[in-house]
Amino acid sequence: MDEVLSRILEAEREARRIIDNAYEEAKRIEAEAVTKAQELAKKVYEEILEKARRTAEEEVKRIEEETVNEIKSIEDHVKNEVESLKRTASKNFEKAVELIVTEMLKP
Amino acid sequence: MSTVGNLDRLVETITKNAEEEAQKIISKAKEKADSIIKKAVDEAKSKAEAEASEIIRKEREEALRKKRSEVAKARMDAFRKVLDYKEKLIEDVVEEAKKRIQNIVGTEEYKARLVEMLKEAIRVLGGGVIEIKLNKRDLELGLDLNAIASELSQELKKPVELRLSSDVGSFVGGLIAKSIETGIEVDYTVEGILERKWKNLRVEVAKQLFAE
Repeated sequence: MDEVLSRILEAEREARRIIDNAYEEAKRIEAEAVTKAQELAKKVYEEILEKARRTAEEEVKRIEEETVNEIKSIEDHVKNEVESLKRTASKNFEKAVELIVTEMLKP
Repeated sequence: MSTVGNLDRLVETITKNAEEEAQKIISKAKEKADSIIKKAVDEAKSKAEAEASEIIRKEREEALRKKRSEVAKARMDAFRKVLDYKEKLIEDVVEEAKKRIQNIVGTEEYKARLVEMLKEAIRVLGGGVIEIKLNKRDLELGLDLNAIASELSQELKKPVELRLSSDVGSFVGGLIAKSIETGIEVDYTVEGILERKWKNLRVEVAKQLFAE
């Protein structure tokens, strides 16, 4: 009878050990998960922000290029307008001078 | 079955149950671990995406603000450049007109116009004793002041006496007439006429000069 009880107690102890080990393993798994979660979260966070910074940089570059093109277009337009004024004024110069001369001598 | 056989089965069952329980505990821990990782990653992702949008928005807004400012400045500079150029062209016309005036001084056409200016000045001043200031060159034109005075005296039915000022004018052409009795002065110098007329004349000159 003692032997029976002894084997059952032994089996119970073994069962307890197995479960205790499982709890220990579970604790280790969870602790590992917390560390892994922190590392992964940091990695994901940094990757997204890095990507955002690159996107922002590209967007700024695109807008800067647009600005340069728009300003160049304005300057080209002015250059053409000045050239056109020069041609027109040259054509009408004599008449304009005559207009002033006439008016300058008329009280 | 023997007692030993039953005991073996019991021990086996206890161990098996414990192993199953252990398996459940570990599975649950793994599920929890997955959940911890997923939650942390999701939270980080959500936070990072919000910050990322803000970074892009701020950088874009700053770049657009800079663009608006630089384009507005370029437009303003362009507008000013065109205006300055127009002004320069008008100035060239005025300078040329002044040169022409210098060149026509001494011609019969100028002399006739100077006489007309003088007659107009006498009419404006209403006759009387009038002092005339001319520039050095026009003094040498030999205007017949007595004949002009006589003609205007008849026209105005009032005595007219013209006297040359001892001061010599430093203007391009034209004259300054001053009534000795009233002290009223009429400025018919080329510069004076141009200054008075310039506001309206400038519009006309610009119209003429830039007409297509």
